[in-house]
Amino acid sequence: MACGGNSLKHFIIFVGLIFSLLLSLYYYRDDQTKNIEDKKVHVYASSSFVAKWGPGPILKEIFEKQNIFKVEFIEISDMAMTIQKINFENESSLADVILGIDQFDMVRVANKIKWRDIERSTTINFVNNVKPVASEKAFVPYDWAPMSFIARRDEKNNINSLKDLLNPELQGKIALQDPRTSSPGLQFLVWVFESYSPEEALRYLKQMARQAHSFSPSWSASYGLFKNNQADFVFSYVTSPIYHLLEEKDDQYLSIETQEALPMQVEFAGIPSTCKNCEAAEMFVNFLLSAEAQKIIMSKNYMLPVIEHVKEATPFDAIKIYKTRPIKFYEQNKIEKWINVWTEIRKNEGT
Amino acid sequence: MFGQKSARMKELNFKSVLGSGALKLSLLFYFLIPYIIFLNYYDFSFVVDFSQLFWVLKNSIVQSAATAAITVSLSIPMSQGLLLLPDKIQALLIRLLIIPVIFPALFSVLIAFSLLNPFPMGTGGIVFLLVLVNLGFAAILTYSAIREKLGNLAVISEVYSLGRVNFYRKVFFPLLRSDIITNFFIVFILCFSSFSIPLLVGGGKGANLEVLIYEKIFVEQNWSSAFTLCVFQTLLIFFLSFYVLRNKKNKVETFSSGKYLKSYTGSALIIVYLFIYLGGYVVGVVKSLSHVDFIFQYAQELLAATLFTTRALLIYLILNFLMLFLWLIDFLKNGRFSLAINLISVSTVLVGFSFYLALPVDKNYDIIKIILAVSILFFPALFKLFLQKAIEGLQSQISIAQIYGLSKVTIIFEIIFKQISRQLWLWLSFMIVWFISEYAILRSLGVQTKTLGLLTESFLSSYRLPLSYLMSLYILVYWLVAVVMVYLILKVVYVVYKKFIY
Amino acid sequence: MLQAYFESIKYVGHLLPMSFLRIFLGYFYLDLVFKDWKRFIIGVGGYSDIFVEALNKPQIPAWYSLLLSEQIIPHWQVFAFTIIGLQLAVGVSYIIGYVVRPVSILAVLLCLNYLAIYPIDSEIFFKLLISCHIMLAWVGAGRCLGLDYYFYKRRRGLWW
Repeated sequence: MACGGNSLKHFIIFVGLIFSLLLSLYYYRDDQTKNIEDKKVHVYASSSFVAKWGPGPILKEIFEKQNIFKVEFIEISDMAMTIQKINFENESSLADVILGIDQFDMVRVANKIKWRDIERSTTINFVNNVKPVASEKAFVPYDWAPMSFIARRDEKNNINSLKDLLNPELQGKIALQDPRTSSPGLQFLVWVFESYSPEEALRYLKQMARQAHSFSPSWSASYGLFKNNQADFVFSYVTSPIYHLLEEKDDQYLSIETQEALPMQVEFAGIPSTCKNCEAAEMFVNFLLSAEAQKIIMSKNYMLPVIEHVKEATPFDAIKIYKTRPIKFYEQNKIEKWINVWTEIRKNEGT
Repeated sequence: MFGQKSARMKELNFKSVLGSGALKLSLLFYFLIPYIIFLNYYDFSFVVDFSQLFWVLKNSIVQSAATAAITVSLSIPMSQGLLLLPDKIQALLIRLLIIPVIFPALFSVLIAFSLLNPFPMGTGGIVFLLVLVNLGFAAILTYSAIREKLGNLAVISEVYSLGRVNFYRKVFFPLLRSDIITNFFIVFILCFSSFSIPLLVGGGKGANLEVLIYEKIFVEQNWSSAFTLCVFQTLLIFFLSFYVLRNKKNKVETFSSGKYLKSYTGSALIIVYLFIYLGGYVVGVVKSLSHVDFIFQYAQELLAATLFTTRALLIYLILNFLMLFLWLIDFLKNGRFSLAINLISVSTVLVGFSFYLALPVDKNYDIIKIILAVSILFFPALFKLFLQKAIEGLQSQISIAQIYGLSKVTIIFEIIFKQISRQLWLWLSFMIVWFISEYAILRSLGVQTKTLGLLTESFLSSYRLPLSYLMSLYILVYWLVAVVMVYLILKVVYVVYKKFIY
Repeated sequence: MLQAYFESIKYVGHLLPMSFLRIFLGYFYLDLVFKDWKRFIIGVGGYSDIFVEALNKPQIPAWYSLLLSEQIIPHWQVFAFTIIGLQLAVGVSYIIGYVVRPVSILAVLLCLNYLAIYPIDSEIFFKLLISCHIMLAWVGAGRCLGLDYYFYKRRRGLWW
């Protein structure tokens, strides 16, 4: 037995050696697979975009049918982390297209890396709300939605303005998000500062801190609270009720229109200058602007199309587009200042 | 002749010292990998607003200390409630009591919110929620401590009719004091780095150190200060753990429960607690049952996630066993555990992001990233929670075995593992459930393949809350099956091993 | 060791013809590795096609076709890599005559796999190959003109 064990030891070591030799050969081989990689577009997108129920899989299928390029989605959990990694990787970065950059990300993180200007067809007919930013050289908008408060239909509400949210009977009933960690939270903060003078905004936020049910770390947490009847109002996208209508056959939710023009979130696609397959990346971004792709993004991502006439004859046509405030890019230190004001207010509340 | 021999001895000695030193260093090195990666990319930055730092520290300490105090004091009657019940029910309840610490924080939040309306925001709210989450876990810790420390003293006191009050005054508290303090700090440390609960219900006072780190990264993009804060937090907990969480060594005795250790109030407390928490959870699940057809809709994803999780879990378990083995060899060589044992509750963002930076974002690297990061984060904590005390209790037996010249492997398998099998099971089942339900670390690692935990999270972060409830139920079932499977496999391995030996 | 290598002809000379067969088979396997490696490196459309074609084979057992479609084809790289690695191990081992007995068992397993995935017309060839491997294992072909003789002489045992 001992002898057998001995030779088996030899055998195992021998096979192990052979395999490690082969493995090192594999890693140091000439990159003949490169031409296949050349045909791949690496698209960085959020998990909700890539998920089975998101627009990613269908877009990939159609794009691959129309072109020789293959699309590979890479899920990103956070824009700041992703950009930081691309920055470090520099030339060796695989990223060809990055999706889901909102207007705040553009200012906060976009300047960390260099972006490539994106050629696009001049005949594209952008919707009016997005037109002002459609000419950005390096970023192409591909979906958008106004943001507002969502409520249940059966709740009696006579809210017509931001001020009405301060009604005493709504105390502790509004689910908001933390602007430090959540993009909708930041939208709300900016909305308040844009709608009022600095002093008024400060006063408003102080009162709002009392009204708020909670400031969730993410949109999903606040929406969960709202759905579980913990809060009567939640700050979300005006397209949210459509989700419940289409997916859950539930029409009891509605978005609220206020006197103040609503803020809007626009999502952009960008191509880092370190892209490996830049032309294909450009093709993919332009593909996102096609009517077909826009329809898919709209129906799966529950955001509005940036191209005119796409949503006609779909349930999305029923969404009333309220008055929105023109999209603006804010300087980083301005945003930080506003967040600091908010943090200061929050510091002094609670028990 | 003699000179030669002594030179050889010296050489041998030198070799073994070198060997043990290398093992010691590499164990420590393994747990410091994230910091080393970070240092590669960033420098320290000491530009920190100290008033802000003190403020968040104060918040962290107040929240954690209050939670730990309440939890640990409630855990004493609760553990006695457990002891009142038959053994089988005890085992079942222990598994149920674990549940709150492993669920996504949002579930606990929803349950708490439906309990208290209006919910007290601020420190009160945070403490309430943290107590709700950690209470069951603390009860298990106290329960384990009683079983390990008290031996048959309860029965003896009963025979001498010492009286309940005297029993507690003279036997129970003096013996368990160090354990109660230890448990206090364990809960303290767990709460110290909690993130989403303070943020969600904290109001202004919610900002703790972990939140500040997050803010530095995501608002200011200031990675260097974030890293510095992470190191500061780690060091803080390291020293806390090093100086406070040291156990007095004790002998393991067979435990026999007595009248004094049983309490009806405690049982009632457990039932109320489980009723509140699991009741809330069951309501959530029942409400979601109408969506149960998702299993068919997402069958493929579910299957893929299950397979991937199983594969990763297997490798993870093997790695952990290996590490435990090396860890114990190091312990036998040096007489004390590696310093890395104090690296508990390391910042999730730090570990996740460092591996995210260092390794390619690619499906092929998912498993390696997951098992590296999760083992670095969990191994020291799990070891400290479940195994350290028990193994240190065997010190005298180990010393004798060493004097008789038994090999290290024999000592580990025949002396240590045999006598701590109960703790090993607890360790193992916690390891499994923490691993399969984990998603926060996996998100920050940039993992591309869906695991069960990630699938739950992605349901949660789209509009699909009911599906995430059902997923969590699925995870619980998976956990049960996994534990049973591992049990069977280990049994088979043990039988084969025995056959081989004799 | 070198001395033992040639010394073996003197003491186990009756195995010499077998050793030639062994060395030839070793060469055959190395050649196979060479070809397969090239196909493997190409990626999609290379080695993976072998598995895909195997699926269309009518007489393949049901469980194997399930294994092919569920496990092997999605992870074809891993399987292809393993097969090439095993082939290389067989090739090298046969040529230098080292650990021939355990390796020939591996080779039999490999052949069984070929039987399953390669077209029907080469079936008889692989069956013949299997019998060759069994013979090599039986006589301990590494003991003549091979390193196994060196180890066998020192350690004895069934597996050399």
